[in-house]
Amino acid sequence: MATFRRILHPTDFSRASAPALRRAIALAKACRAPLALLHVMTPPSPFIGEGAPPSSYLDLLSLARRSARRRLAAVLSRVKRERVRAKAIFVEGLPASEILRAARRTRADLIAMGTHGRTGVSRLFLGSVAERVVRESRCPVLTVPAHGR
Amino acid sequence: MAADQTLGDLARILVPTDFSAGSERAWTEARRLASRLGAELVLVHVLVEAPLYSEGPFNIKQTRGVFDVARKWVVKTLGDWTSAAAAAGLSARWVLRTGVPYKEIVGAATHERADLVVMGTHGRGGLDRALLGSVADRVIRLAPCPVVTVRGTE
Repeated sequence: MATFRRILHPTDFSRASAPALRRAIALAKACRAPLALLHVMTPPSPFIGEGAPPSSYLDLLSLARRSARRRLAAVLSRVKRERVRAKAIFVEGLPASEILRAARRTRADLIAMGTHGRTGVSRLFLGSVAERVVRESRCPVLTVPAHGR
Repeated sequence: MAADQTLGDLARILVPTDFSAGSERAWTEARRLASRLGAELVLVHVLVEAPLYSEGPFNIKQTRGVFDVARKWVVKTLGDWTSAAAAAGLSARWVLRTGVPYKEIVGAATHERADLVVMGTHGRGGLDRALLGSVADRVIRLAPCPVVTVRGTE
């Protein structure tokens, strides 16, 4: 019986993403499904301080892009080492919107993502990105808490 | 397929239901997953019992009678859903709890040592489709394990 055919894992490279990645890999193996790894980069704010030359913003932007792409490539090779078919998708924009868009475009039938589960009072707030994705996604969404398991 | 190490920890899937269309979709999804992963299904329903008022048009006995009828229907339906899953070769059982839905669902996930919760984003409570169902929202935040949310039909 077929289960998930295409799994999308959005990552922000944070520790909150790690347990979700492990689950996504396990499910991709179990379902023999390819895994799309998505990173949404939100461009740094152009307000970098008075007196800074305009070129320094562009430097900052290209530095951020290079660094994000490198980290995404590292996640991709980690997944491939686990013998899961995978591809990396790098986009810029607002995370929740881009995750939903990528899910539609790749025709994902599962989004596996972490929630920024902090402790204390903020534990009561589901990360705003995860919340919007859960609310609006057409396909099932697997949310994995940051705190282990 | 044989459960390998990475799947060994996905042994039990808890599926809260309020018998709404959304939770039926979640149950279908959970059955597919359980079949693929060789996991056990635990269907859980939370009975919400309103306080029993002695005043008004209903007395305690009548109110109790309404709850009893509801409970019987719930028990029968839980039995039907799990038997259908068992007939399809799955390992399935049901649990009935009473109280506040999100608390009881989190409690059941903890007590049953669920490895995954699969649930609909919208149940019977609440009409506003723009809002994430409050039960699903709280379960995602408080559950001891990952949660798969399945949105209701368009």
